[in-house]
Amino acid sequence: MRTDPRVALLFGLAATGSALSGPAPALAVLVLSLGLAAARRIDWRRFVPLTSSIALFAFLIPFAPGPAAVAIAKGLGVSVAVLVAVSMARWDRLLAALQAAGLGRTATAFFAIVFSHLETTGRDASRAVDGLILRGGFRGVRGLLDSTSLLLARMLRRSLERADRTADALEIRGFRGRLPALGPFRLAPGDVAVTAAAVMSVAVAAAARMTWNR
Amino acid sequence: MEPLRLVLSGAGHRYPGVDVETPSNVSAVIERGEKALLVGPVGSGKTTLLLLIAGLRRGSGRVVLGGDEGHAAASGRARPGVGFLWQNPDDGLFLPGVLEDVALGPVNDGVRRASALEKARASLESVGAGHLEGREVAKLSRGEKQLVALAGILARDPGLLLLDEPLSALDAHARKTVLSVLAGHPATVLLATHHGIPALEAAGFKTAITLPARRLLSATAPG
Repeated sequence: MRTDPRVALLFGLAATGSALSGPAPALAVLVLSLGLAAARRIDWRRFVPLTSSIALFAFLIPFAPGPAAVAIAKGLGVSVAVLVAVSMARWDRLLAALQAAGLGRTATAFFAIVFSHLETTGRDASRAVDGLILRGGFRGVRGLLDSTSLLLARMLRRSLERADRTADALEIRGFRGRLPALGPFRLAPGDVAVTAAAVMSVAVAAAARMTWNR
Repeated sequence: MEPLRLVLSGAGHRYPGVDVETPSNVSAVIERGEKALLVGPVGSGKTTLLLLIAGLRRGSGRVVLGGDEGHAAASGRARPGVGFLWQNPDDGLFLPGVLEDVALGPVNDGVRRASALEKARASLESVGAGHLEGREVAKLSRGEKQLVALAGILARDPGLLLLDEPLSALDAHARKTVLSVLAGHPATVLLATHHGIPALEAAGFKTAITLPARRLLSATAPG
C-alpha cells in the first residue's frame, strides 16, 4: 500500500529534523523508520547500501568517543528515515509534491532524470545479475569478485549509453521540468500510521530537549 | 496539429572516426498525411536518419519539415511537431506510472492537469491500452510498453510521427490495433522497418526511402 507523497514527505522532514537534534531522538527515528519499513513491507534490498553503515555503527559504538558515536547515530537515523520516506511513495509523486511546494523546474528536471536513470539502471543490474548467475557467475570468492567487477563495468557502460538516449527522449517529448501534478489530498488509513510516526519522532526530540534543559 | 510535409535532400550523417556517411545522400518527399516506409537492413542507418529528421542529430544535406528548413542540421534540438517512437520502448518511457508518463508531454506543453490526464486516457484508449492506465511501467511487457510509448507521443498531437521498428515487440492483435491507429491518424508517418513490409503495405504504407546495406566501414586508424 502506497502512502500519500505529502505524508511521506512530512515523515521524512519530521524524522530528519528529529534525528539531527540528538542521539536519543536519532535512535528513536531509527526504530520508528524500521518499524514503518516492516509494516509497509519495503523491499529489504533497498537497505543494502546502508548495511556497511549499520555494521560500522554496531562495531564502533562501544569503542567510539562520544562525538563520533553521536555523529554516526544521527547519520544513520537520517539515512534510514529518508530511505523509508522515499520508499513509501512513488518518486514522481514525491517530486510532484515538492514541485507543488515550490521546487524549481531545473531542480525538478534534475531529480526526475536522476531517479528515472536509477530506476532503469536498477532493473538493468537485476537482469545482469540473473544473466551472470545463469552463466555460472558469483561462484566462490574468485567468481564473486570477477562477476561483481563485470557487473559494475557493464552498469557503468550501459548507464553512459542510456544517458544520451534519455536526453534525446526527454527533448523529443518536450520535457521542460514539469511533472503531472498530484490530485487532491485524501487521507487514507495507511497515512495515519505514518503521520503518527512523524509526530512521535518530533515528540521524542522535544522530550529529549526538555530533559537536557532541566 | 496539422500534418507536416517532409522533404529530404541529400541528407546524411557521419559518425566520428568513420570515413563514410551512414545513411548517405538520402532524398525523398513525403506529403502531408502520407504513411511512408523507411526500409533498410540492420545497420543501414534507419534510426540515425529518423534522429536526423527529428533534429536530434546533425548531418549534411537539407531537411525541410513543414516549411522549417535546415533546423535539424544546425541546432541539435528537437523540431516542434515531431513524435518519435524508439525501437526499445524503455528509451522513451520516463515516469513510473503509465497514465502519468503518457500525460508528461501535454503537461510540459502547458495543458492543465485534468485535461492532460484526460488526453492521456484518450490516447491510451486509441492504441488499445486503456486497461494499462493504472499500471506501473516497470511491470509491463515489452509489447505493452511499446503501446504506452506510442500513446505518449500521440498525446501531443504531432504533425509527423517517426517510428523506429514499432511493431517488432507486438503480438498479432496489438500489431493490428497499432496499424489501424496509424493508418487512421491524420499525421504524416515515417515508419522504419526491415521486415514485415507486405503487411505494412497492405495497411496503406508505401515505401518512400530504401537504404542500402551499410558499406564496409573503414574506421580511421587510431594514432
